[in-house]
Amino acid sequence: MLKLLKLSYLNVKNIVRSKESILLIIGAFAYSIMWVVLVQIRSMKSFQIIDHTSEFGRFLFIVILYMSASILRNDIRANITKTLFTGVFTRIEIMFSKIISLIMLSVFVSILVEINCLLVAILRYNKMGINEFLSLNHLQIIITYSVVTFSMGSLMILIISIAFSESKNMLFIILFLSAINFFNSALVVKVFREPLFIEKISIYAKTPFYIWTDCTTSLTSGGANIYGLLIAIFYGVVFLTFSAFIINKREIK
Amino acid sequence: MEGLDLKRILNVLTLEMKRKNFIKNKVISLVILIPILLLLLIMDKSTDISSVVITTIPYIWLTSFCFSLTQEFENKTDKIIFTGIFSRSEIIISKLLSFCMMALVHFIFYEILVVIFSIYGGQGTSNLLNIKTLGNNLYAFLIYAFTIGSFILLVSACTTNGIFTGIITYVLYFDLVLALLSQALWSSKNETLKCVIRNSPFYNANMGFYHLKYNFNQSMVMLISGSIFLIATCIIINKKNI
Repeated sequence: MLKLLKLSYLNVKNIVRSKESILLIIGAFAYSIMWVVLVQIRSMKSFQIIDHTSEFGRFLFIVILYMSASILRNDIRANITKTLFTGVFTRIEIMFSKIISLIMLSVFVSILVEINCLLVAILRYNKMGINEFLSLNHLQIIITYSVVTFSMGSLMILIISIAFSESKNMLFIILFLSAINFFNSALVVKVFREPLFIEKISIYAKTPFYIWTDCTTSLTSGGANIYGLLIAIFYGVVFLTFSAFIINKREIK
Repeated sequence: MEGLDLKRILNVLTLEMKRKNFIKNKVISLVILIPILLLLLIMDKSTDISSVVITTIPYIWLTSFCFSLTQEFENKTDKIIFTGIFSRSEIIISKLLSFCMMALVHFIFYEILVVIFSIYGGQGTSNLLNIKTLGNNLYAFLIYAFTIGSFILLVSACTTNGIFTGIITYVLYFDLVLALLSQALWSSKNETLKCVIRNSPFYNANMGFYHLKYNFNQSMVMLISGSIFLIATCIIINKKNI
C-alpha cells in the first residue's frame, strides 16, 4: 500500500514538474493577470475576487485536461505500459494508484485556484485588500475545484484507456472539451438569469460537461452547488470503474 | 532562403499530398460534420448553417495543422525529411501550401453546403454564387489558413509537441483570448491599448474569419504577421540541430 502511494506521488510529481505543465500553469496565471490589468470595469456588479476564479478557471480547464491526461499517457508515450501492467502490482492496483494520483492532482489544482485568489487580492490591493481574500469561503472553493478536477480527470483516464495512444485524437478531445466549457458558461449564465430556460436543455443539463461548468460558475453566483458536486463525483466514480474494467480486460502490447 | 524554386516546391508539395491518408483524413473530418448539421436543423429550423460551419472549420484546421510538422518529430522522420534533397525552408513552405490546399478543399465544401441548404430553405442562390462573394470568401479562407498555418508551424518548430502546439494556438487565437480582448476593447479607456488590440493578429484572425471579411487594414496585419511567423520558422528550423 505504501509503495502504491509512493508510486502515485511520484507520478503526480513528474507531471507537475514537466516543462509543459509548468508553462501551462504560468500561462494560466498570466491570463488571469491580464484580465485584472486589461479589463478595467465590469458590467453591472462590482468586481470581487471570486469573479476572477471563473476567468482563471477557463484556462485552468485546459491545464486540468492536459495534466490528467498525462497521468496515463506518459506511461504510454514512454513505452513502459508493458513493464508497468505486468509487474509486481496487479492491473487493478496500478489503476488504483492512478486514481490516488488524480486525487492528489485535484488538491494541487484547488491550491492553484487559492493562489490565484491571493494574487488578485494583492494586485488590486487598494480596492480589495487581503481582508477580502481572508473572508472568502475557502472550503467551498477547494472542494468545488477538487471535485471538478477529479471528475474531468476520470473522463480523460477513461478515454485514454480506450484509445491508448493516438495523440491527434487526444488534442481533439482536449480542445473540444475546453471549447464546450467556454460555450457552456454562456448557457449557465442564461439559466441563472431566466430559470425556465433549463427545461429546454434538460437532457444536456444532466451531462457531465454542463455540470462541471455549472459547479464552477455557481461559486461566483452565491455558494457551491452541492447537488451538482455530488453528480460530478458520481460521474467520476463511474468513469473510473469503467476504465479500471477496460484496462483489466484489454490486451497490452 | 536561397534556392526557392517554384517547381521544386510544387514537387515536394505533391509528395506531401501523396502522403498516406492525406485526402482521406480531410474528407472524413467533413463527413462527420454533416450529421451534426442535420441534427441542428432538426432541433431548430432557423439555425444558420453557414455560420455553424464557419465556426467549426477553424477547430478542424487547428487539430489537423498541428500534426503536420510535429508528426515528423514524433515519428522520428524529421532526420530524413530535413536532410534530403530539399532545403529546410522548402519543406516548411510546402507544408504551408498544403494547408492552403486544405483551405481550398474546405472552401469548396463550404460553398456546396451553403448552396444546398439555401435551396433546402427555399432561398435563392443568386446572391451566393456571384463572383464577388465567392472571391471574397476564398480570400478570407486562404488568408486565414496562411496566418494560422505559419503560426502553428512556428510553434511546432519550437516545441515539437503536437498537443502542446494545439493548446498554445487555441489559447492565443480562439475563445479565451477573444473573450479577454473584446472585454478589454469594450471597457478600456486607453486609446493606445485599443489600437494595439485592433491591430494584433490574435484579435483579427478569428474575428475576420467568422464574418468572412477582412478589410484592407486587417489583411495587412494578417499578411505581415503571417510572413513574420514564416520567416521566423525558417530561421529556427535552419538553426535547429536535427
